[in-house]
Amino acid sequence: MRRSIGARIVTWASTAVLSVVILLPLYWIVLSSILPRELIFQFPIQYIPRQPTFNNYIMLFKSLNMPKLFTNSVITTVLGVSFGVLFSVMGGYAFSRIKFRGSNLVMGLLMLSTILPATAVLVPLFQLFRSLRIIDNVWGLTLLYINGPIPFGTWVMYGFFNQIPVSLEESAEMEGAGFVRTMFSIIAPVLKPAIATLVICDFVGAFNEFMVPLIFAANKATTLPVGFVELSASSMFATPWDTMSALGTLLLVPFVIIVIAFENRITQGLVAGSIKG
Amino acid sequence: MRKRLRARTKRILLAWILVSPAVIFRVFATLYPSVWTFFYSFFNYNQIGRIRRFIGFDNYIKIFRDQAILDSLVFSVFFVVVSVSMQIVLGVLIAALMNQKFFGRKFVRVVNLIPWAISMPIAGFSAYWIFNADYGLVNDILYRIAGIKPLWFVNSGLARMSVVMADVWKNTPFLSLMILAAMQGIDLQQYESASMDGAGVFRKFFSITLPSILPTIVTLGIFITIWRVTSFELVYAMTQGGPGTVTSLLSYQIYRQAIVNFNFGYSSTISMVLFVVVGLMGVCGLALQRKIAESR
Repeated sequence: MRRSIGARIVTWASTAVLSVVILLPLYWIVLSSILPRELIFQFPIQYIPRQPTFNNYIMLFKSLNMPKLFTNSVITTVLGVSFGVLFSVMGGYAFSRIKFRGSNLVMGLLMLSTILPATAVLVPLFQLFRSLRIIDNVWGLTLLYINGPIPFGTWVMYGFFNQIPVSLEESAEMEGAGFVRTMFSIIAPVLKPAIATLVICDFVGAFNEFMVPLIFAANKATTLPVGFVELSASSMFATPWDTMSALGTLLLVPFVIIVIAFENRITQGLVAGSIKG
Repeated sequence: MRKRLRARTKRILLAWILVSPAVIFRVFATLYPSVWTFFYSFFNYNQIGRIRRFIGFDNYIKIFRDQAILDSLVFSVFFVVVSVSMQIVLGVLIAALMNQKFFGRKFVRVVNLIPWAISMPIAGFSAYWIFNADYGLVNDILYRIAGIKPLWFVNSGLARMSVVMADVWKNTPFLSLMILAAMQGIDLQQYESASMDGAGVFRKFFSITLPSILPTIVTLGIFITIWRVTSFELVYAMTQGGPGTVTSLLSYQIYRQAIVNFNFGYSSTISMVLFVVVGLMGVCGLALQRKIAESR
């Protein structure tokens, strides 16, 4: 399809503008993390560092208990996503395949729970966790991490199952396979791409979750994103942008890599979750 | 006959078993606590003094006199309307860009997805630093181009703008993907026949693309609006509601009252106000949807 010069220019110009707007701040964060402390507070900004240093990272590891934060993040995210996706698949399958009384009501409730402001249920939830003594606890936190992906996941799985022909299961049934057998041998392989997508999307969301650990885990069970808060609280003078940018870079880079590697899947997953009819 | 009934019952039982974990989690973590929030809003419930006294509507009256809360209400609405409008406009443009088949397409998609993938506190704290009047990135560039260095966090108007801009940066990519999905659902035939009638690029965009995606945009707009109004992570990371209280969202106030002041009763009351706001937005949104559907 022949495209006019004008269209081409607009397209490439827009690409350039978008890239700069999104990438420049990221570059600046990474830049700050390798600049010596004094040079961060300078004007005008030195865009190419002349004396890069890893000192900020060393300071970061001294200021925060990074291994602990990392472990907490990993446990909550991995468990949260695993169970969250599992429950979503179960729920999605049930809603899609089985016509049972009350299914619409239950689905409506699930969707309603998504719209409810998370902050508004803060207080009672906080109270509940306190009375159960799971406030500053990795496992208590995990419960909330499982809770998060459920609405989105169930919806995506529901949509996905709707598209799989019932004939697959029916032919398995005719050959005498029970429910569990059908699920694992026939459905599972077809499910893999959808689950992979869901896992990636949920993983990104869960690992980066900030509000939940901020409130429900104050000291011992906090996760990496909350590390920012600890850093800024620990310094009495200015915001410690040297260590914060180091932490920022550390949290940034893996996800940029994930995005580059999995862009296709992520796009599909988010789009599938958006078809709200 | 009997055998079929039993099989049917087994199926229904299976359905409930499958659905139960999801439902149990959501009910306990979201729906059930909402009811309690409603109750707490009528109490003077403060952890510090260990008070827990029923005071009826006193909390509600207190809210109407509380300047900070009223400011939050105003800002919350302002923030959400401006931010979502900008996100929609930019989202449509970005989606249109991603819809083109050109060499840099994959690059645009990847870059566009990045803000979604990084954690909110990074975006927030970085934004705070980026908008720093003396050493920030924004002022560095502004100075090089126009010789000005606005005081982003001293002036209320500028502070609000910076929060909106950070929010747009972080969330537009997600929205643009949804809009892209809608655009890709448009029947290509329409474009072809329009081309044959001699329509240029702009004409095609305004007469075919926009009207087709309008329902989707309205639906998405409602969801995004409600979502932004109820989130406070960005404000927390960027400004802690400052300077003063000009950039605090209602949801941020809920957090403050509960976790910082331990004033659970009052916090719950603010939550109820937020519920009402969300409810109103939902109703307006539905009305808007209906109006659009009718005019087709």
